[in-house]
Amino acid sequence: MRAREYPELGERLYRTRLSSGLTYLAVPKPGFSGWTLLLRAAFGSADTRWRADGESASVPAGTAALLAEALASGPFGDELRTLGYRIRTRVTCGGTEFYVYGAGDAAKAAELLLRMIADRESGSAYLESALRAAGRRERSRTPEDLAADGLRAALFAGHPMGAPCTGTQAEREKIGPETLDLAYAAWYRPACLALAAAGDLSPEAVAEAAANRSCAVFGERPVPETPALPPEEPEEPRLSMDVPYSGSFFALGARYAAAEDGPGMLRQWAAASLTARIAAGPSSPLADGLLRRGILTQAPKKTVLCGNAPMLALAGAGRDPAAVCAGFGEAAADLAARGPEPAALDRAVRGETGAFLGILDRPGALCAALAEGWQYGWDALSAPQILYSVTPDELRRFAGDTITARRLAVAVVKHTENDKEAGNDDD
Amino acid sequence: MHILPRRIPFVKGPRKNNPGGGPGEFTIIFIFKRAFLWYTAPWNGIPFFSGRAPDVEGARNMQQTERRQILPDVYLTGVRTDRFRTGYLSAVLVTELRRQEAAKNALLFRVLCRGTALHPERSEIEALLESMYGAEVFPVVSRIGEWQCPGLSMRFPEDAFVPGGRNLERAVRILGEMLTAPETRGGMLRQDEVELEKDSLIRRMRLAENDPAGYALRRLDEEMFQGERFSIPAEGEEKTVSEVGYQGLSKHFRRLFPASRFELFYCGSAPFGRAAELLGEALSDLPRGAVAPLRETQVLPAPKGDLRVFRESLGAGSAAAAGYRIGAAPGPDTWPVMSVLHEALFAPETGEAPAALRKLGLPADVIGRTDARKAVLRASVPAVPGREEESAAALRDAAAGLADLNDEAVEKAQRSLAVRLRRTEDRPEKLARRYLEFALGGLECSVEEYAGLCGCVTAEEVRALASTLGEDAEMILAGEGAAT
Repeated sequence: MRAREYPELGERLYRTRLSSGLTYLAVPKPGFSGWTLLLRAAFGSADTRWRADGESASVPAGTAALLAEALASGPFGDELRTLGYRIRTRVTCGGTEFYVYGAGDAAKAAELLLRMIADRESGSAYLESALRAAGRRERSRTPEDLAADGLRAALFAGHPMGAPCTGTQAEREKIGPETLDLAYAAWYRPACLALAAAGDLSPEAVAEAAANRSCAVFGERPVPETPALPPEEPEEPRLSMDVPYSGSFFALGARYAAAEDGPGMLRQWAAASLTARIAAGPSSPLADGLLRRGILTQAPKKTVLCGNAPMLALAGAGRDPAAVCAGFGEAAADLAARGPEPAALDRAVRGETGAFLGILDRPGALCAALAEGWQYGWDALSAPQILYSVTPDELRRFAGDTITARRLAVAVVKHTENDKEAGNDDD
Repeated sequence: MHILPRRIPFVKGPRKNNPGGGPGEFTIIFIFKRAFLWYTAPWNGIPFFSGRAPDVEGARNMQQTERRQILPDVYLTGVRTDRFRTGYLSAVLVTELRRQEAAKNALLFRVLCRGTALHPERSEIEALLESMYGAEVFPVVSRIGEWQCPGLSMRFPEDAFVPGGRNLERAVRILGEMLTAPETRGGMLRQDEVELEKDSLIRRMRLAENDPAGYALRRLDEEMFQGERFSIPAEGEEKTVSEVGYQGLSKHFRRLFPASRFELFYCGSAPFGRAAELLGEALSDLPRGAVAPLRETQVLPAPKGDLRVFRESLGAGSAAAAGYRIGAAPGPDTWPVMSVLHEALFAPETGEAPAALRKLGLPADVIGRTDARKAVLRASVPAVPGREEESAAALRDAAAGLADLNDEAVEKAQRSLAVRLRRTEDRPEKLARRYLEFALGGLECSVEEYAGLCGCVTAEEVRALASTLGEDAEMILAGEGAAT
């Protein structure tokens, strides 16, 4: 097994391809008491059409999420739970993630996790249970989740990336056991899977346990047949949902042009993160002004997605999303025209580096970064170096190309009656 | 069979700052019911305990936990470890929960972290934190029994991973400035900052309604503990926040600080002595006065009469919550039994309550809360609109069955608890909360040692404690369901 040292981070990354074809990545964290295992399948909610083994296939939206629920509710999932471990599934546009959090015997847990995926039980009973779980998950969505979904719907209107990751109730009703079988056979094969592990574990022992288990279907990764992306200017730039929640929530953001897989994508992530921090981060004049005027109670939370849904988003709870959106557009335009102030760029690089160091302390987040890096061909642990290498010119170009008033979309989730009571004027 | 953590805590680890001990050191053996915990204390009487046996990687990954009084009524608990890339620091004061003061206390720390005499504007503070490689300061407030613990926490990258180091020193200095030299105008806290933070706190309180299960728990506390201080939320109440003025808050600040005990927590790679020295210097101007003993938490007996059921409606969704009393205040030696009982009832994967809900096809994301000092357990769960009563009944049945819990279920709970406690050691903010609970309860042990004690609990003890459990109240929130 190859090991790469990152002396400046104090980390060692083990990486290998197991005999089964599964990619394995591990970062042991000496001194930690627990560990996280993450199995990532390169099957995301946006993968509704694909070509595999010479055959084309299409499934309703929400299939990836339902399949994930079905897999996690099988007997091996139950065995993991009985051992006191926690299981969580997460589906994004680009992939499906199965997390196991625990302490103690990580090798045993890795074996059970892979058996959970490989020795799958199918049939209508599991579909029923998965449908119930998907329904519960949908009901527990927070206003922040709804705003994020709204923003993606605005930025990728009419495209699978714009649909909710769990699909809609109507879409899910179209899914039968055979749909799950079809998706499983295509995507749950070693070429599409990676196991990431971090925490108090022996990389060799986990690798050995994982090597003994694999999925039955071998072959190359399917080729997704995704429709062309919609125009970069969102057709419906402002979207508002009235829901029975207290307060107003917003998510605003823009798409950026996707780089090819590989280090270029990580560089785009770095540019997007720095742009968002300089324009609207906690020390920016924009955030300060919005806080002073009582529009926001804290600086907006930044999310930068790369992979196949490249976008940057700012989200929060506030009274006047239009003002936040306009302010962000102006700050970005200023950045595009004049470039970043050296002090602001230095602070932003430091801030993002510190945020990355925080990820290293959370095995779950670290596993997610490693596995996403595997899927898109970049090395997550090189992020600090990339951040430091971004030039002011690059940022200027990025801000100019990406964040223009026409390209920004904002999704607002609010409760009209509450806002009236509070005397707020959102729009 | 009892489940013990993999690293059995009875082994005394080497002391990094005093290898091999030294003259004048003595050893105390604290005897709990079945476990022997080895403590060593230097001759000067400062308690010291070591948590972890040497790791395979050697002393590099040792974790040491120490506690010391660094100023009058100011105590520092330190966990020295080099496993994290970010350090953690917190300072909380301990005071009684009082209806008129809870909101003031929560608000006070929100204002204090917005500006200091040296860095008066919040943008200056933010720039300073960002230049420390994304350090963060945030207000925290918790309720332990009928005591309130408001304060400030900081996270900052460790010195070894940032050019120039000195991040700990800078973090301690900022924290010290915020607590001892806040930005004032004419001796008063800034009116504009107080008003902004009031608004922010009120909005935050209102947003709590968006989480039906969390809100149900809060409403349950308010109704079930009516007339008891425990009914006051940790952050206080909206109406008292709106009544606070900047002058009143300034006076409260001047009165509160000298009369309060402070608990500091540091988790990071610096030697305990170094952290203690820096904090001692930074807080040397902290006003100190006579600290009166706090009133103990009031514990009421388990209810004998009918179950009280409260029903309300909520726009954001449905939920059901239930509260149980044990009836007698368990001492720290019973805390491990209570922890196992909590796990047996609420553990997300193996607990009786989530299992009962899952069986009925109902949402099973149970929020379980146990307060050992108050001797109460509460549970809350989101519900399907129209089926809230079913969720409440499932919670009720799960709790009622605890007295007949079989040995296997207790072992399962112990396994789950062992995993949870060990994972706590990987989260400094959770460690801070645990050590605060231990310090306030007079329980002198590390989290790992506590996990060992939980592993020694017998099924009979769990069943005996469960048989004293009495359900007191339920809160049913009927909603129209979240938008989809």
